[in-house]
Amino acid sequence: MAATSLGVGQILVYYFGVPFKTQILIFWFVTPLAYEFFLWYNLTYYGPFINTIGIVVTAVYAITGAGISTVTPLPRDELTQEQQQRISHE
Amino acid sequence: MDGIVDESLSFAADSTLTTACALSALLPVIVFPVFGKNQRDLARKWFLKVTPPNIWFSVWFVILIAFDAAAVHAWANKLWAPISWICFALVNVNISLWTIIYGKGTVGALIISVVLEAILVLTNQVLWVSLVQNKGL
Repeated sequence: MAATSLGVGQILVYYFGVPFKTQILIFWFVTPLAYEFFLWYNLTYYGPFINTIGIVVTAVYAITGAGISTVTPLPRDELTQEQQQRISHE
Repeated sequence: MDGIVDESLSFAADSTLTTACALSALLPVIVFPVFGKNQRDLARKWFLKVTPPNIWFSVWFVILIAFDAAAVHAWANKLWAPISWICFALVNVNISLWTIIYGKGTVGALIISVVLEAILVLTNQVLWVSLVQNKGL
């Protein structure tokens, strides 16, 4: 789910030209909501089962990874000139 | 007599389907070393501030190993229903296709790979539900 959310973010930024900052907001709004939806759906319709644990563990893992990146300073030297220009204009 | 023949044919068909689907686990193992080499470069090309560090994606190896171990256990003990095996095969085909298409590195490939990711989420959901409903866990 988090990978899909990242993929959608890549399309938003590199195809639709959405600013990086806006993508961060969209990601942090949509991704936890998507996990909560699947958790709610499975618990409501199928009751608690091993998948519930799976969803919680993968959600924590994915959100931790994205959280680390969000608070880490930008790796400017690893970015292309175009990416650096876009970020500095935001 | 006809009943026994029908039952035998049905068992053979089920067994073939199950084995074919179980063998699909080899697809990602074959495809990734060939088409997955440029994943690190693509993470830079499609940089996002929320993309986790590259090491974070190594979890996919753990997921696939656990997934395949569960499938081998289910295959040996005949635990899964045909629908579960079909979902298992679809997941493996999906992951392999994703690796090939995402590796192209174009915007078009990126869009198709996101569609594949969404299908992967839904296929996994159907797989889990089929396991719960058929007591395949």
